[in-house]
Amino acid sequence: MKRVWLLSLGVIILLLAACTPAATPPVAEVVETEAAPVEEELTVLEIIGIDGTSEELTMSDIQAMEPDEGYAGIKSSTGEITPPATFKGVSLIRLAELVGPMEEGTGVNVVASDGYSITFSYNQLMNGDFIAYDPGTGDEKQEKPVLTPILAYEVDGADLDENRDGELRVAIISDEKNQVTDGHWSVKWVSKIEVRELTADWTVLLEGAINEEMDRATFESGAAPNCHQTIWVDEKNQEWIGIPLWLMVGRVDDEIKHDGPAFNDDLADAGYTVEVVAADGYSATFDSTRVKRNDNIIVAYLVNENPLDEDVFPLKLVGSDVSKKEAVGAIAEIKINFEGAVAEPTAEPTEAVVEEVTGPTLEGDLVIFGKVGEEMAFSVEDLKAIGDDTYTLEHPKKGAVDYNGVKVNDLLAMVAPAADATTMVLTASDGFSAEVDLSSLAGCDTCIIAFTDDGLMSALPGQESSAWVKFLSKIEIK
Amino acid sequence: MKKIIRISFILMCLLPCLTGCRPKEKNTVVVFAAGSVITPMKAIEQAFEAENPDIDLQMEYHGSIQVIRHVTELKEPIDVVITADHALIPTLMYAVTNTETNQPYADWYIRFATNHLAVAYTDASRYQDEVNSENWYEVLSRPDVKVGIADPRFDAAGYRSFMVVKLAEEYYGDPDIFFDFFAGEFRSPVKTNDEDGLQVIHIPEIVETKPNSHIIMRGASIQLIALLESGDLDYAFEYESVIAQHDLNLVHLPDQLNMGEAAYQDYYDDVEVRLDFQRFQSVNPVFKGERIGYGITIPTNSSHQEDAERFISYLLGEKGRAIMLEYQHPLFEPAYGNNYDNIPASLKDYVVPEPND
Repeated sequence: MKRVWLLSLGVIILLLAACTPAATPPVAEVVETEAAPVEEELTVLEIIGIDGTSEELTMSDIQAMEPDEGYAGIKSSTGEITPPATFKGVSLIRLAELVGPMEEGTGVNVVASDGYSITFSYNQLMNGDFIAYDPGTGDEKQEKPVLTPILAYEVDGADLDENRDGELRVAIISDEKNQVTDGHWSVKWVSKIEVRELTADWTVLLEGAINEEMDRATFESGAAPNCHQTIWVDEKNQEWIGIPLWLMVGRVDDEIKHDGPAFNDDLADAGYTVEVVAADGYSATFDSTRVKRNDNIIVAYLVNENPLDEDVFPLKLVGSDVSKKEAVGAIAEIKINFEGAVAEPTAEPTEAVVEEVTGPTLEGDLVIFGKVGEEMAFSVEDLKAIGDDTYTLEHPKKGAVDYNGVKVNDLLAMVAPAADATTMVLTASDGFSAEVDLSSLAGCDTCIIAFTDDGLMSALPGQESSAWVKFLSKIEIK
Repeated sequence: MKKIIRISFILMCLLPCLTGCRPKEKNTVVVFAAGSVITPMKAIEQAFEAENPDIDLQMEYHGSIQVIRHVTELKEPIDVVITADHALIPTLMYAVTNTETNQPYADWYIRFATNHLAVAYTDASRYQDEVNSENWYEVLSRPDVKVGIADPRFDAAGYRSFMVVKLAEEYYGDPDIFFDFFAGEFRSPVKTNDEDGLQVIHIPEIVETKPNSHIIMRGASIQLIALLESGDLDYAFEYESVIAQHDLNLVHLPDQLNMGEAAYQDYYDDVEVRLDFQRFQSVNPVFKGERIGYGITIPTNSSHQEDAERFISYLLGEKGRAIMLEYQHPLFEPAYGNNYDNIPASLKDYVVPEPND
């Protein structure tokens, strides 16, 4: 019986075998008698820099670069998940840096061979700022894994499927197999990446009869030499470049932004106030008659041809008609208040009427106010009389530096902070400010207000560098 | 021996069945559709396949721009395209030639459904007890209110939401509404300008909100639903049909603003959204303000034209329409055919030519 079944099975196998296509006959090995010409490897990726510099890379070039490898998957806009697979390639940031350093305000435009493109921001490239989803549930992950956008040439150890992905595609990878990202970032058939300067990395709000969010490009074009560029050289011979405040006001004081009589003299004569506000809320207020066609109050964006320092970036109020207290830095907003008109129109600009939004009632090189037993104002000489010793302090960035100064705790003892006071707010004359916990200063014998060439500075060992405030003019106890 | 011969004979008779008696394979029809029709389309898929057992519908959903991109740029074999903005079909399919066939990717479409934009919220949303059709823009502008908007680079609901906010300025007589909503919220500002009465909204290349912004962007409006339900958002701009399908609360927007009423077409066309960068090789889309119209077409390179027509006939026919309405998705009665002469004969019974075609 067993033989019967074996025989039957053999018949079936033979029949099935007969129905399958004949095996491809073995191909005779071709022995080349002459060396074939070496074909030049094709370019698969073009990289273009901001200044037009370009690099053309073959696949071998890309594969010779240090690889980045990790897991990437996709969530479609309607929730469909393609689970993470292992991708290998080179990070977009390293490819972009082949044509120049990447800086804040730049981005990378990734272009597919058919012309479709999407731009990745500096923030996405450097900090992996993508929304990540749990591959199992599709829910957004609250704790984002470290994400890196790469140009991948390999998936799960094999070349990409050319029909589906092309030779190169974007993948947003992480070290662990625990995330997927939005599908629209995963550009396929990538053939070109372009580093671009993205127009606006900062904006300033102008509010008046009309409103405008002015971006960097618009400001810079207004500050061009053939437009409204105004230059002021300060007492330290620093050259500040910007646009007079009255021209910024003129963009929003009425419906006429630029063409024709943008600045409305009649309105300025009728009186209103202009408030210049820093990102941290510090502000200075000017009367319209003072602002009117006054080229000595300048909204500056360059100093000695360089962007402003981080603590006052992107804009600072400067000029021969701007006092230390009015020199608002890190300007975020310029507001016209038509209801706050205070001055009668006059033929000549009047003396400054400066209204501090918040602040001390006394004046001095340093004023300590707020939750204190007694608000006090000090001149530099007053401070030196209280204490002027040399301290070698460890600056968080500069290392050991010698300073002369007066102890913070000696000054606090004089003003007597309230029992419930918890915070010290250090504010510079340019508007920059930093907060420090009062408790962190207790017992600090080397925390001082230092006397420097630029004026007063808080020198607080153990605190972050942002708490070492230059041009210090106010201390508020809260 | 007789036994062996008998068994071999039986096996030889059975052999053809082993190879040829498999159930007949179904024809696959690939449908790519806008995310806002996902719920009714799932029901239509089920009903259609039950009546047409020889066809397997493979449905996939994306933001409308992405739907078309899968056809024209990712070159995927797709048999039916449904977008939430019919105008994308002539812009991105009529105008783009398929290099393999030397034909445009589409040469007709049917505008078959509409919708209304509205503001969705939940019982847990901040200020939900005071928001209404007259003050929604003021409530949503508050810095402590989290508002969700779809990314205008990827989703029609996204650019329409920006249009609604701009149109609100004229309707409520407050020229600062757009500014109050969006100024200072994006790393690169979304700017507007007036071009002889046309309000133009310029979308920058990077649409990224600043840290702690009260505006939350996602690639598609449908993604905002989960954030609303989890309490990560207080309000979101959504289509009314989608809000109803997810049992969310809604603020009805006035007809002048909801982009869904024919009577206010003149109002809607006062606004336009432009992408301030090259997004596609051959076209740089401009999204004009107009009444919401969903478009459907069969790409010219579909290899299942007849089956695709059967699906569209079902959708536009009595049964398909009933399902759409059951899921509160409003339809045009009748539907409108663009490039009417090119519309397949089997579908002409369901459409009339576009008024301006």
